[in-house]
Amino acid sequence: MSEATASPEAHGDHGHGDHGDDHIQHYVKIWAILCVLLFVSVAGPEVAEFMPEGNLRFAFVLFTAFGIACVKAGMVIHYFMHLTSEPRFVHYFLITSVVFMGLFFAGSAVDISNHSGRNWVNYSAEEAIARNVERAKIRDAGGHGAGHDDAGHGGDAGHGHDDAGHGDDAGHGADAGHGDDAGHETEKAPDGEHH
Amino acid sequence: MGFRPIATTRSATGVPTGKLAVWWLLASEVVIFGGVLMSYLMHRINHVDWTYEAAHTDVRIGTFNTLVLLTSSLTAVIAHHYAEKGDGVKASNYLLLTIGGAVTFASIKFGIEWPTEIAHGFTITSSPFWSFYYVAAGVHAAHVIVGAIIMGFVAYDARQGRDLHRVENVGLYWHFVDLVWIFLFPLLYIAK
Repeated sequence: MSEATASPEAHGDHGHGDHGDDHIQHYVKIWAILCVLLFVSVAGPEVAEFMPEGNLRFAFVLFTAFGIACVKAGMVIHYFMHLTSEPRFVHYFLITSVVFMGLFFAGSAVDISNHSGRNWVNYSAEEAIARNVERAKIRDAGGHGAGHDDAGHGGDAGHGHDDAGHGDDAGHGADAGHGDDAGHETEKAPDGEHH
Repeated sequence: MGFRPIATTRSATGVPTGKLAVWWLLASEVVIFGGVLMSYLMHRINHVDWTYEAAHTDVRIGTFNTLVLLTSSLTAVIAHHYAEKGDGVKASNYLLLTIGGAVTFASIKFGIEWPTEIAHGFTITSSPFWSFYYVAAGVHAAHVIVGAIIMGFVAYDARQGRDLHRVENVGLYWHFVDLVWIFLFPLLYIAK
């Protein structure tokens, strides 16, 4: 990733010579590898069915789905987009936007994806999930017909599904007991679903 | 060719201006798609209910469309290769193949996949998962359509030997569209 055309790969000379067919063969090879990786990532969860439940299986699915996606993305960037032959500052501004994305994720994911933590529980989110699971089960059991007039999510989950600010409502008696049994207490206070 | 913009041939950065503009565009796209994908991810992690919904997406269609996009990326890079060699006609032909890929992708999505899902009652208002599904895939599909239209113009010019550098520029954009799908595919179809 030094200056321009640092890549020793076949595309380094960008086809000025007469190696046209070599280049195309090279691209086709990359495409074939990408296709193989695609099928591996599709087969991953199927193979995982035969594995015992547990962390290993979870890691395996994660790797076949997202690890391979990252490898594929890297190959497209490197071999098809030729990013390596661009000057460094191009890398820098692309990396900057990826980093900012990560920053926004890190800043909000803790609030959005977790529903409980030390001294706080987001009851409304947990209840909304339970309701949605229940409804999905009913729908899946009763054929696809049921459950569309569930503009529902607006209706029940609409109240701040998982908005931030659990810190506040957590006060309602969750100071010590997180989550497990604390749920009952909010049922008496329906407006626990506020923000 | 009287109105060729001067900026396309002037560069203080070492990168042709048009290509640099595409890289900037892609940097902004990273944030657009990244934002959607990341917020999807952060909801997905602890919402088990999304798993029930995700089970209804069709892996076969998703896989086939991924294959279509990968192949169209291959034809785009081959078009670039011929443009570098100054062969506008071949570059144009391969761009047309790429457009074919775009049309196939969009036809499958809007002609088969979405109608089937909507007929089964999974619409954009069905649940947060389906909202994300239609928004993320929809924004991506809009990029596919726009890319196909732009490639049509570039292919037309390339056939006459004009503005061959644009073949690479539109190719960069197209590879990015492919790239986004590479991440959308496991998120929406595989992770169940």
